Amino acid sequence: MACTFQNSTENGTQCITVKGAIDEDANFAQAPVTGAAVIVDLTGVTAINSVGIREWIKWTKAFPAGCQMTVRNCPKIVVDQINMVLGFLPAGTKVESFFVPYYSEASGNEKMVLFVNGREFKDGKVNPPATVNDDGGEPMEMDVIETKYFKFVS
Amino acid sequence: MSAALKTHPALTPQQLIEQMISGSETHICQPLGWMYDEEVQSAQLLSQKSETFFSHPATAILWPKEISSRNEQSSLLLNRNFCSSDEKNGLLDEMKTIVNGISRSSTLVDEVIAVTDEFVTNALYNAPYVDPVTFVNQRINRLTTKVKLDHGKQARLFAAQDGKRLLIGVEDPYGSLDVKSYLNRIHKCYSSVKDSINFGEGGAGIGSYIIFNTGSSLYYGVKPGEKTLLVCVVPIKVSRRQREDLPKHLHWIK
Repeated sequence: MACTFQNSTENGTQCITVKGAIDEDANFAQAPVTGAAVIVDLTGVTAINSVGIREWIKWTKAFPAGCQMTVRNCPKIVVDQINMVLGFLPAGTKVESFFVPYYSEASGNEKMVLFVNGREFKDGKVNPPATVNDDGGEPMEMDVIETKYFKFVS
Repeated sequence: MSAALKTHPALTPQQLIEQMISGSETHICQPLGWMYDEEVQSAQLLSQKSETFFSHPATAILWPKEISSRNEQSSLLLNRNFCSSDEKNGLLDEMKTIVNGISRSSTLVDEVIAVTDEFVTNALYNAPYVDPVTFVNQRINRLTTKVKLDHGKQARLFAAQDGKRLLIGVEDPYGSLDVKSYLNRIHKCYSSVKDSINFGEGGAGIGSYIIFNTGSSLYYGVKPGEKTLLVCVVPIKVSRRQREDLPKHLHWIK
């Protein structure tokens, strides 16, 4: 799926919703950031490749000086890049929410659970939900190495 | 055990690459890695009969005691020739369908697609570019340019699985990969991915790292001027956490 950018405004702040694969075909020129703050919703991002990582960084580097970036609904593939590539998010970026994979050994099911700032994580500390079950009621475990996956939170 | 094969108890990915760069062995298998015994069998076969890797890559890795053309063909879940960047999305869709058919894990799908994307892109953009004869696509702008391999040349993407491992392979008809540079590029990324990124035109320079970092095992071989073959093995039907935590195997087929 080709990468698309949808522009909107939220309480006077520019909001950009990104969908599809961030790769060599992603045209960030369609998403210029001009204000003092921007919210980027990443829930629809399906993939990101090495060229996409580079183009994303170039895009954020072109933000106006001092622009406050907020990212929300970061899928696992984006969290992986945040942890892997120092500078994937500009310094001072607020992560509002991100997804964490859960897995049931018994059923083999997988679920993505949204962690929201102030609820499941706050001030560098992670406070996961006490229990997560799959649709059949089987208990699920967090399917990440916590020290790696939550590195960006601390 | 062959002198070309070495086992290590538990090397980090970075240490594994260092060992391959500085050591004399061409196959490094780790007992705590995924399917260790099978990896050792493949390493023993390929250190004695390297040609098998180029002629029967899927069976050499998944069923090293059952090598035949018939087994090779019947084992392939995907076997597609390609020559143009226009074909990439179709290939990714086909691979996604295959992975969805063998696992319900969306994280596995994401990882396999990441590997496939880098494989296809490298075969189209990098292999011809670094080829000393054709030298085309050099520093090509990937954002604005669609590419096609030279007339008559085709790359191949393939996949196979044995119930515990999914392998994704790509071969290009150039044989231009400089293996030492390839390993050094991966190694550099373990120090800093951001500092390894090429912000100019051409590739980003971190695709090889993404591939190595994703799989439980990587096989690579080059026939100079003729063929480069890369195979990434990904564990299936295990949790993502387990996949991520496994020591890796590395195989350089010469």
